Amino acid sequence: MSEPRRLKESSGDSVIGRLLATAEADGLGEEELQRVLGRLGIAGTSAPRAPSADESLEAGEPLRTSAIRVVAARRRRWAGAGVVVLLGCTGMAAAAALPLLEMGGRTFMGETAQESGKGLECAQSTLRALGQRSEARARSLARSETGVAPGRATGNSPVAAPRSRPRPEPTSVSLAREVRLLDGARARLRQGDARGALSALDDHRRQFPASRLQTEAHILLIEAHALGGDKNWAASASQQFLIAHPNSPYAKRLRALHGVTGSGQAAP
Amino acid sequence: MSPRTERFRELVMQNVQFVARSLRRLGVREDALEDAVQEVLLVADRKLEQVEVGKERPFLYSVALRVASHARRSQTRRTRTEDALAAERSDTAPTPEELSQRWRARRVLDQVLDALPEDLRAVFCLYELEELATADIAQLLDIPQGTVKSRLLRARLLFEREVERQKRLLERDS
Repeated sequence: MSEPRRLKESSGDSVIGRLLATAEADGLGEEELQRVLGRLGIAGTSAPRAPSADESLEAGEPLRTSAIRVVAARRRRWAGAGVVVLLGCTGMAAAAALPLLEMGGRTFMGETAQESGKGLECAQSTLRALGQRSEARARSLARSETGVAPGRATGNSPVAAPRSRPRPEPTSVSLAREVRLLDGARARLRQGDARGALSALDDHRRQFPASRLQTEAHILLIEAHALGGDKNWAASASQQFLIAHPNSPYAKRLRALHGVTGSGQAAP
Repeated sequence: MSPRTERFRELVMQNVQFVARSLRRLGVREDALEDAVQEVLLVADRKLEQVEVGKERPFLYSVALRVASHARRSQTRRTRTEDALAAERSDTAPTPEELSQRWRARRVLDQVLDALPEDLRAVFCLYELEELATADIAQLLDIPQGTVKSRLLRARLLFEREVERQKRLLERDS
């Protein structure tokens, strides 16, 4: 069945085109996305009980809308499950940091995320250059530049942050950026733009070498290659993934992809 | 991380912006969007075991339709009150936001989409704004592909008619 032409392409009315274009920016902004991920506990992992984002929000900031009050009642369920927005904090540090995050630290968090990213890259290259003997010293350098223990971000054995200067790792901030990058790759795939998707995924890989969304990025990479890159690699990578993770939520998506790879279309 | 937690995390990561865009286009205002997104995802968490693997997005969209419908009703009540207050306050001075052409255009799009019945609006937004294929929309809404196309046709007619009406209103006002 052939698809009708989209209105923005077929309509001769420029007003319609402009109107439809205003919806291109729809979606959550960076800060809103961070808050949602943080409240859902997506940004963190299980950790000692610290004041939840909800509690800090309710104590430190007037609720923005009546809708928040409705949702907040449901959110309390999450607090009991140990919703932790920030990694690398002791319980006391988290208690101090959470109100900051919610009340006034949003810009600070964004800036810190960028600085941390740069600082970590710098620290990692320094680590390679100095070799193992100087590793401890390089870690210390990274901490002093970024306030984040590099072991956490690189997947090495974690190094405890000094007790005297505990700083929150901007997990929800970087995660929000990761989601945005992968969302861009997904949008390109949907448009049939394999090259654009591969480029977005390359950006993601460079910016987040120790990504928490590696699986999702890997699946998107397979889909992008299946669409217009190295199809043999895509088939082989799919097969390997399915053998290793036959019950993964992604398995069905990959199996569907195999079915349509021949026509050059990515799975939705 | 437990398989359940992992599944929920993946569901959120893959769909959070899709949910947000859908809610916005189904009529949830900017200032209520964040809470509406969270509400949809909380329902998904509560009912995760009932959601068939691979059917997460249709489930989320069906929840988004309900949440948006509820949000639109409460927004309408609030807007009426706000309009009455604004009329009392002043009828001339626009807010800085109102001066932004883009913002105004987005408001116009909201008004045009508000003129569409919900079933037509969903199909229109998924096809024209989300740019999904009709087969994907059929799967998402659990309706035949032919129904998607007929709804799209009707939605376009209504959309174009409403754009014309809005244009006439703007011309008359200016």
